[in-house]
Amino acid sequence: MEKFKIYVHHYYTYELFWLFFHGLEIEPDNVPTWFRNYNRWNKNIKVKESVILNGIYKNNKIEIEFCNEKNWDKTDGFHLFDYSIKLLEDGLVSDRGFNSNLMVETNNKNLDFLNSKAKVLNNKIHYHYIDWEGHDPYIMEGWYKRMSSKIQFFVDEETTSVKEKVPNHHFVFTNLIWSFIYPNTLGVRDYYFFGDYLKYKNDYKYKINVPIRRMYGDKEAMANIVLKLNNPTISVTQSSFGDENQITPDTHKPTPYRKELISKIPKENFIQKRGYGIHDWGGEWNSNNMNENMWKMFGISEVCILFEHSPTRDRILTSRFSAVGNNFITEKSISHILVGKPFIPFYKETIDFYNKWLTTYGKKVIEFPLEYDCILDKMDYIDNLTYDEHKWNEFVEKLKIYVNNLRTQLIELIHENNSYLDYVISDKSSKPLSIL
Amino acid sequence: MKKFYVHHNYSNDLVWYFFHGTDLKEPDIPSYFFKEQNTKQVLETKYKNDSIKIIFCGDDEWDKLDGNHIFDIHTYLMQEGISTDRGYSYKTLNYFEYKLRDDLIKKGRVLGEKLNIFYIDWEGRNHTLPISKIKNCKIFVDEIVSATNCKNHHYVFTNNFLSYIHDSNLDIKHSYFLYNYLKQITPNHKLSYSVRRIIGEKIKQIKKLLTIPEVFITHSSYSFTDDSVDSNIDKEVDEFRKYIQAHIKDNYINKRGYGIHDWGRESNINNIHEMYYKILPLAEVEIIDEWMELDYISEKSVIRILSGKLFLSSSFKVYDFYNKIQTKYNKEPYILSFRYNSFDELCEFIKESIADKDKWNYVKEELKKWVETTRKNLIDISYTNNSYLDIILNNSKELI
Repeated sequence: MEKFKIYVHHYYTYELFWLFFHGLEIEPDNVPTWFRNYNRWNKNIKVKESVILNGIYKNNKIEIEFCNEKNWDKTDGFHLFDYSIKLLEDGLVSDRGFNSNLMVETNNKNLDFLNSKAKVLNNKIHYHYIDWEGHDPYIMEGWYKRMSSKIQFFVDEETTSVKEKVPNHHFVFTNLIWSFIYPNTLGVRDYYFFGDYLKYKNDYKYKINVPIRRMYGDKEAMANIVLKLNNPTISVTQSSFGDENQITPDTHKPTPYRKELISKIPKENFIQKRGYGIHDWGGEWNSNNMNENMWKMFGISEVCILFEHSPTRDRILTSRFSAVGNNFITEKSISHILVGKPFIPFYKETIDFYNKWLTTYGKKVIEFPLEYDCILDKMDYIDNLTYDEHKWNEFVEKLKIYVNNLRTQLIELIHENNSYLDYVISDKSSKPLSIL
Repeated sequence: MKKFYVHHNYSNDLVWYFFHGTDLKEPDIPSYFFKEQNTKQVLETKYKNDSIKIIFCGDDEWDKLDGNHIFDIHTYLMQEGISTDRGYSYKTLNYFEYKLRDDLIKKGRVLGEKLNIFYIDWEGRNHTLPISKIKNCKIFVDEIVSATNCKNHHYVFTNNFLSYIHDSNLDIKHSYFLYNYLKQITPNHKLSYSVRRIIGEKIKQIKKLLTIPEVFITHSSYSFTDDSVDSNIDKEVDEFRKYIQAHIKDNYINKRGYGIHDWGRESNINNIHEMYYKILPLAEVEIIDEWMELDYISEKSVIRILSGKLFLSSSFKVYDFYNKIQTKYNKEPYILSFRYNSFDELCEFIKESIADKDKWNYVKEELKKWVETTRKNLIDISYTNNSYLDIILNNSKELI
């Protein structure tokens, strides 16, 4: 049995353990949650001492040491550093949701730091950068120019635009999925348990809803189609979006279509985040948007059409196509999968993505009950389907079976596997072999 | 115009917590994104014909003598990152006692009754000792009846109730929205009773409930039994292990599980989430321990009311309290057709009701009417009145 050691340069929390080391054979009781002198009464107080855990992963011994800023001089193991977790620990962000305001400054700071360490540690530095966005940091943040080629980076884009030249690029599927729930800063983990309530819901107003908050991409075309269909069982909701500058102050210009859409949909389909008293969900923080999603959006329709990105489509729509990474999923599909809510993604690529990774890990795949590439081209079919109760119910049942299978298989897959650890224990020549 | 200096950083939720019932509507209450926008804020409005000016000023403006100065101990500790939520914590008690109290007493010497300290800790009179030593200002608390040595304490129902919703950091607001889903589920059991921290009274109650087969009793994991707050419960824990655990071993709710099933530590937020997702859906009716003997309400009854969960409280005083509050604020409470005066009587009542389908349905209907009426009335009351402002502006006495 080989042994591998990983130094995690963050403060220990049990949530970070699951994020980085799910799939490890370890008893939950051996994953400590609190320490007498630190976070016993306040979970936000950092555990400053090193915490060491041991487990088995696919017949390999793994020793994990959460050591924060210490031990960068150790050459007997890998060194893990996570972009988003560092921002969280420094109090610069409240969750993993992308923050363009910090991107340039933090990127430069991290690269300077990690590059300096790479001189000694060579390819033992593992830089995790999972931002739930489709932008390719290798291009967009200049890693191809500035990052030491020795640093191994672990991202949520399957490939970069220049994959052949980037042997240190690693897509980590299981860590990507788990990044949505650990640390649970956005309450996404709660969706899994909320599913036990949602399955009883049976008084939906609509058969299908297209939820839109920030208007961009093909969403406008979709809203237009829904309005033209004039089908009383298909709706579009527009959520309030108080301050557009919160998101991408440099690039995002609000579309005038938004006002037109709001004027044409039923009043109750304009989902207001601000309301009186208990109905006031506050500002446009990611956590508030996720609360709105859970408590306001799931009860509207039997099925949701979700805007998940298609890298292929994004490359057509943007002039900076080389900056588009192969990223297919966000909290939108993850939240629906965890809660077991039937959904149709805008582009079939999302389905293909999940199916591909279930297959890769030997999990059961169920056929998606709709053949399409882009849902925009299929809305006439969907429209007709809603008028035939028998066919519609059959379709919804198949969607439920699809999403429930995906939910079950994904959880199983992640409890048994770890994409990052698969790299650690692999015998690729680009990294040291046994290190202990 | 009456001025209120609020010595906390601004947030829309704090406006609802302190100044609900005023003429402020949500467009008047900004919800800013950037941290720097959330420090200071001035709002002007009216409360029942009195014009008021609200100045969120953080740690500044303590020298101003032209208005009331609001300082909420739990809000301060949460904003400073010293505690994570409003729920009970030694950290809160110790920090207040050793780091805040002397300074507040000094401020009280200058401001007198214009210093308005909020100490809403969701605990009973036995927890008021630390705050009872401040005598020179007005203190707003959640003990319905204060101890005799606390003449400057004032019970503020609406602020107490809304502290759960707007300033708890515990997602308790979510229970109001959970209502829409909870009412649709089909529970597996008729009655449930859930315990986490084992204390003597609960052991006595479990022993009695074990004689009623229809009651599903769960035991949740609890890892702080060596804590000083629990230093004297070893005997109870032993007794629980010896006589009870075997009877309910299959109903153990373990907070620790593998991966997604790991709820983590015994933090208040994890306990609340366990309640939402593991406890509330268990049964048609839940038996809860809301101890009114120490004259306070806790998240136990608040969450059940907000979520519309049917419950039988171990103390009937809970229903009396909420009914009296509704009457005080000119709302019509739903009066339950049954009554019990002890836990023994409650058990007898359950045995009698549950044996007969019609009787059981009747009990459920009664509880449903009570919880639905109370839920609606308490929300109405809290957003059209303000117990704190009634005391400051109208010399109201929050007595029921």
